[in-house]
Amino acid sequence: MIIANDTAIQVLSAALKTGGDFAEIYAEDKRSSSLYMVDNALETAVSGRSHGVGIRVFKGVNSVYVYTNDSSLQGLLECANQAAAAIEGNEALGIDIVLKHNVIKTVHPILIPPHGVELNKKVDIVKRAYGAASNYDPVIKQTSVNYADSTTNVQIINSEGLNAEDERVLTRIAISAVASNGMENQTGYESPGAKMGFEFYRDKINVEDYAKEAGRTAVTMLKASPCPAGKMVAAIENGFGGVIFHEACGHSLEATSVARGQSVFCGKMGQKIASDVLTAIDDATIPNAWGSSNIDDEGNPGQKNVLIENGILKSYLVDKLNGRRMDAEPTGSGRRQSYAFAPTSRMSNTYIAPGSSTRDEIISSIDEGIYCAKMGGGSVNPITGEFNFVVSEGYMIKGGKIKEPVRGASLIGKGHEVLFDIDMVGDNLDYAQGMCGSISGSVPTNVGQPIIRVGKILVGGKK
Amino acid sequence: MLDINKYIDKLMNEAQKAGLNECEAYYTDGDSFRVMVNQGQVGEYKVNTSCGLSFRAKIDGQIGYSYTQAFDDAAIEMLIHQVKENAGILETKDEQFIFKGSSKYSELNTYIKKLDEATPEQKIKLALELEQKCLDADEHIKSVAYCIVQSGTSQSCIKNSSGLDLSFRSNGAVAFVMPVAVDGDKSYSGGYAINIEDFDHVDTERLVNTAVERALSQFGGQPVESGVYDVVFDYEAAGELLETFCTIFSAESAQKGYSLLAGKEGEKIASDIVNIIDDPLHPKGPDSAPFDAEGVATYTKNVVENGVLNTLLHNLKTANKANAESTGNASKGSYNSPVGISPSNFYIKPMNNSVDNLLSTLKNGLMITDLAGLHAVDTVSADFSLSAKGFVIKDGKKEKALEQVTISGNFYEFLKSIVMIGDDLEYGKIQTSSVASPSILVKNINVAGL
Repeated sequence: MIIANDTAIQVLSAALKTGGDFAEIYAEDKRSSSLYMVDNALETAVSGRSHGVGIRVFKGVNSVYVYTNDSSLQGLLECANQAAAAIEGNEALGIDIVLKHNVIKTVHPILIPPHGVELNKKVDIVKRAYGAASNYDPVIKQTSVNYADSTTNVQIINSEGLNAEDERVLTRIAISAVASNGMENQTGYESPGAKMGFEFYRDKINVEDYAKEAGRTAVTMLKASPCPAGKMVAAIENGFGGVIFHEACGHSLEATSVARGQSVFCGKMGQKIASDVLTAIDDATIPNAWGSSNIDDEGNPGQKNVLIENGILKSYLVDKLNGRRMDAEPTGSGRRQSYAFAPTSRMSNTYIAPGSSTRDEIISSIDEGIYCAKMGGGSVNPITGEFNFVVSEGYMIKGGKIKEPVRGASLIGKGHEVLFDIDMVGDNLDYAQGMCGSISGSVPTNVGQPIIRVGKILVGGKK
Repeated sequence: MLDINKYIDKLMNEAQKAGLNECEAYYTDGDSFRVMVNQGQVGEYKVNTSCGLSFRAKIDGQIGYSYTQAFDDAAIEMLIHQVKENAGILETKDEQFIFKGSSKYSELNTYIKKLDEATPEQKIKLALELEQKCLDADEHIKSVAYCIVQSGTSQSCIKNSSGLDLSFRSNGAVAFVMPVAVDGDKSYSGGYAINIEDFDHVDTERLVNTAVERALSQFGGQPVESGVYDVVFDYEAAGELLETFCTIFSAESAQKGYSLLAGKEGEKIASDIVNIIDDPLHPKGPDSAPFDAEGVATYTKNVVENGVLNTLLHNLKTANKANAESTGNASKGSYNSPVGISPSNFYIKPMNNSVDNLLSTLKNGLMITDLAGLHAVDTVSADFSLSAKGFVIKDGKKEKALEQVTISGNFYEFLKSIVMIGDDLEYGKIQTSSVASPSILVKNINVAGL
């Protein structure tokens, strides 16, 4: 689906006819395929094509967004007219639209496009994963595997002349294993993914390893006792542990919150907001990473943004509209789930940069505390900074040693406080994949960190 | 303009020609409007019309799915091809159905004509008024983080090779405000939403006052000592907990071993006073419809009666496997999702106790009004550990605000620990989400704090 230049100019002009000062067309065509295996049988296979166009018009800091599935010229003009009608004004500003052709060089090469892969090969991957998880241990009573790939073609055209196209290919497999003793169930879950094609399973991961890992977590947690409650020292392992920064700080640095004065980090640029050992980065340019993109959903190249350097706030994540509100340049962070959402500032691959401590140094420094081997999801209220997240595999630490597994734990706190409590940062940086929800929908993001130590944090538990 | 009925007929025809004798088209379309104001101006304004078509066919006992949002001849070819390809790899042994239709469907009209007559200007005016009223309500309210008015209409249709031809249209509108109260260097937000049935008569006072009170009442919030407390969950917190864990009532979850309610029909699973109702025909229910995603007629039932599990929620496949009848709970997450199971309007039946009554019975303990972290909960173990806010209750009265604590437990045990149920449940007035509860008093909740 390519929108021709003359069509685009006609549509943008219609969108601007009541005095808008900026108009944008976002066209999207997405082919997806998914498979689901459970109860020893492939149960569901769905594939298809979603298709739509969103038109956005700004007048100053006011924004109008209209979308449709009808990408014919008539459909687009109807959309543009509706958008224009919602702008207060009568007369076009007379903006002369001269479209360029922005050449996007991909930094995320796709070797095996998934929509060309025979379904049977995808089935093989699913069955390999299923077998490895379900055979891990006799107490694994149920396993499920969810395979998904998608190929999304987008075209973004705006009244400043930008005309860019991009193809985004995502590949992911989610493996869940349930261990049960008849009275209680515990789950282990792994969900590796990348901005890659089918080569992901050949070059990047061995699905059996992840499947066994899901099995191991489930079996371990079935033997775990309830986690004690209270303030503790915590060691949070690398990979998905990075969800702590994502929730405790990342969301509150998004211009979505900052521009409207709704973040605890408003007005803190250049100030110390974290301990000296903390440097945090949002990097959309990591080749083939889950949260990467050649261009964001406003057509700007993805960037590497240092958010916090040695505890000092260096940058917010800024989209075009909020950039106007806060007089800041966009940082390549305008993202959306699909054409059904107007873009706003979002994270891409966000991580705490490696520090100088080893994993052993961090664990052995803790006399009594909790070791969070695996984290689950979380959330934050950027206005108050209050965050929470789930510990999906935890252990007690006693005398500098990792001891018995504990379950049912969560960590809560206030983002602007916990950043000062991160007092050791390890050297084993790793990433993990997640779907992040906010007002522009659900987008793929990587979280990441090396193992870190938090001097004190409230652990919610049962005892 | 596309004539979707003709398009579906053409698709069904082509499918027949391609040898698909049992097939079904599921189509949804709708339009929506949303305005968000900020500082006296329209900040964001969004309208859309959207539609989607899902197609499925039963081939050698297996059902393959495909979908499209482009409606041309190429899409028809793609749908038929992909459905065949997808069905071809499946292996499930459970029998599946393309449904012929129920003998009778309830008359249900939840469509409010007057809502669709409201103009964008009216909705913008309302949003601006709400923001100003929040700001004027108290000197501590410094801004309104979100002030949103939205409305929408949606229609779903099912047409299949067995002659089923059903459609249902509904609409709705909601206003939501989240004022921010500032106390020294601390900010507190209070969100509240109400349903709108008539834009000429919106209860702005109740919306604004409730939201503002929610923000102001959090001033000076502190944790309590860790320990075991009796807790009143207000209707929102209780409703959100039930919504999070309602998947345990799905027969699909039970048959797959994800729910511990498997085989518990006829057994006690909750305290005696608990009745849980699935009510798809409620005239003001947010999720009311006369038929489910497979075209089965819906009906109202007691899922839990006096603490005893009467039935799990079934679709055709799980019912057949369990030797039962479908309960009309087949659902699709979105037009392009495969058929699964979900409750409709699903609630703990209210009893004749005011919230004050609950608090005076509690006497000393906690009242929880806000939970965070629910989306990350593991519904298979049903263990939860959630960030919570609310009040410390002393002698049946709110003594002070509570924050930075967690409550934890297990939902199966939670159902057995409910000792008193409030009267504050009314769709269309109090509750805006389909899974809901009145306020409840629950014994022995683990709280982590100081």
